[in-house]
Amino acid sequence: MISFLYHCAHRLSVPIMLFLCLLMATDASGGSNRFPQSIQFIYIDSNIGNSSGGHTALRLGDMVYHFQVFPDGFFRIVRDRWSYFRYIYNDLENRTLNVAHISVSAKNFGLIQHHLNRYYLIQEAHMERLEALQADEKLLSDLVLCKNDIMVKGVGLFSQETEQSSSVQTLRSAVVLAHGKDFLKNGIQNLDQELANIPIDVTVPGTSKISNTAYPPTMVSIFNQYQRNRLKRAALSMIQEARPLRNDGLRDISAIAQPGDPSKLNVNEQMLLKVYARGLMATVVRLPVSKRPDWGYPLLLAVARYQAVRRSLDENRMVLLDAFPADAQIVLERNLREDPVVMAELVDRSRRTYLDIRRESFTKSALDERNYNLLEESGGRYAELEKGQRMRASVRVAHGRLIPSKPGPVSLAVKPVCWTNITPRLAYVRLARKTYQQQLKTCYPYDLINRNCATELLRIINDSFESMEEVKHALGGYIRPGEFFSHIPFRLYGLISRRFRIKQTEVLPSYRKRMVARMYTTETNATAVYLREFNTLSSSVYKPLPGDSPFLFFTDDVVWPRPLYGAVNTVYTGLFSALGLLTLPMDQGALAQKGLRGMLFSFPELFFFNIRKGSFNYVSDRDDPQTNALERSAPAFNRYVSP
Amino acid sequence: MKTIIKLTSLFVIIIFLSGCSLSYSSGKSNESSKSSSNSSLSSSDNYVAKREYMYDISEYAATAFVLNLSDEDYMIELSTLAERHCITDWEGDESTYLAIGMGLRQAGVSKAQVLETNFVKHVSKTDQNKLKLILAGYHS
Repeated sequence: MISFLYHCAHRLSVPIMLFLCLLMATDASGGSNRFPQSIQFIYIDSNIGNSSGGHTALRLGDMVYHFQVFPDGFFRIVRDRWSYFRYIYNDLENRTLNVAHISVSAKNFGLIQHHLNRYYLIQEAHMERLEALQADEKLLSDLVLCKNDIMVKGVGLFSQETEQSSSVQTLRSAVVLAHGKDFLKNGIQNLDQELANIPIDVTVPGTSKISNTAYPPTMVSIFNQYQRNRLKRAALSMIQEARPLRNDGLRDISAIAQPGDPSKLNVNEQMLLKVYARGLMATVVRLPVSKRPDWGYPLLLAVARYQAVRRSLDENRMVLLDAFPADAQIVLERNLREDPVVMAELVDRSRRTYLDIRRESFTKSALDERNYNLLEESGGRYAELEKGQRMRASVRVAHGRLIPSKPGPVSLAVKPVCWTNITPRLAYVRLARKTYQQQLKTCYPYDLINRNCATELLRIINDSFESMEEVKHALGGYIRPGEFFSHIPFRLYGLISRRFRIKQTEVLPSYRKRMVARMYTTETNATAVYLREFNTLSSSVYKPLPGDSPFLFFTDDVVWPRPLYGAVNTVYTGLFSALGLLTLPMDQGALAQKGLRGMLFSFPELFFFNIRKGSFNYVSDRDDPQTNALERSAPAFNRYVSP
Repeated sequence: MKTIIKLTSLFVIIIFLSGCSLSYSSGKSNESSKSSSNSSLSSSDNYVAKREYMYDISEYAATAFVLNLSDEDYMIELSTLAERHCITDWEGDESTYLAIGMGLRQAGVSKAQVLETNFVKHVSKTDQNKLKLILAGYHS
């Protein structure tokens, strides 16, 4: 135990960290032609907040796979791009990443990658089916209450006004020319008839055992059938009625152009947008006769995009659809005002990203859905942040990719059914949903020791191969999930480093350590750097954040002084707790709780353990090419979003 | 001995308070992002996004072959997957068909079996160019 404590502490000492800043790499086995590729096992060290015991991940190429606990209790595999993963864990959460490069053959690299992606696809298919059951349950609950409207994606992009859009009139003419003058009217009638004939069959998830290794069978969902039908009808109606877009569903990016930025479209942009508009028109003509059963939403989106593109061309400005989802999280204006410098940087970053994407998109020979959507997303994020800064308004933020999908209500009233007769079906759907959810809980469970991020990652690596012998041959060794304390992330890293065919190990110091190490190389007085940066009061890198709990001394980059610093931190946080008792009637115990939490994380420092490292909402390391182009607005406000 | 090991490790973990990472992007909600992965929006994204899209579609094609899905179910699942990559009109995206061919090849499906797949039969009836793309992906 003592050697373990020493090992933990020793790894984090200042001189070693300086050395590690040069990205120490030790070549243990040398290169080998038989094993030209490597998978990277990553141990992320502890910090307060989530994964206080550390975390593990596996990097293959540009993608990182790791397991996370979700708020609904499922323990799911997550895929992140390396740049995003590094920014979140290494920079914002300020954790050091230890990376072991395991040499593998190209074939085995492909096998592990295939197994991870397959697991991910199966898991997502399971979650889709659960969502379908939840949607069925909500639909039937609403119908019992005589609520005959359902919300479907994309419909909210269109205005309810009766005034017709000339662009959609053009689309309507093209559809009529291709399919006949009664095509739209007949199509709408047929869809209404079809809706009336969709049986209210309750969803049956299947009786077979749910497994995370088998793709689930398809599931009949009442909501999905209704939604597909209503989306098709809505799309045909929008064309027939030549419905314009809602003004608040559009983002005029030219209106917020900074001096020097393009406020008008150049000749090449105009040409490519014209070609893209023609392509959209062809799509609008093609989709209503497509054999795919769900052409409604793509048709609706093509009609909306056509209008946005036409408006851009007609007004010679860049006008894009609003791509934020309806459930985007909101950052209140008062939170934005807390750090105007960060807000200004976020606006500037999003502006540069948008301009880069715009420039890149229009240097291609043609626009397609993929790069036009990148324009929508980057333009939308920029417009949102810019509006927040300029108008002192709250802003929306969203993780992941964005696609215009604002929902709107559509009616089911055409269906001649007595909804009161569906109560027994509702009970059955509710039971089916609960059963399925329970089955999924056993399929994707979290358990602190037996099913955690370390055991599941190891299990998924092992399961990529037929036998233990194959694993040994592929990786150079075998570890059974959980054996030899391998359920503890740092222990698993140690085992892998010793037992597997390691090409090299690498340490990526946390953001604060990198910045302080840089100061030691750029500033002449090392003592002054140490005295300034070893505490939270004068640190130029770290500013205390609400989630970090109060502390005075950083203990992650010192070894022998750690118990002493820990003792001071304990006393410091103890004072907070005492003060919290006095302010109890005013703050309902918030300060006391903060102090106690601080004490809890100071206590291990007395025994050479370090957990707390401080964290950040936003950082910008311009010398880091890996994370430089990253979208940062959503992570920046993660602590302040609502709901 | 096993019990002692487990108790000791439990103690160590309790010291560290909690084991695994909570989802960052969905920390405040029950819904995870619908994206295929968390994005790093940048000008180079188009190429990376296309590669990731094709990878997932080929993986799906290999999986769906075993399930012998009807062409309708096949397309519904394909739409869901494509939408996670922000592609709604997957029929109009050539990379969809190339990726399907690649996936079937990787799954070890023979060319004769490819042509007998429900979805490929559907494609061959409606658009020969798309069939050519599937076969081009298969032979790539």
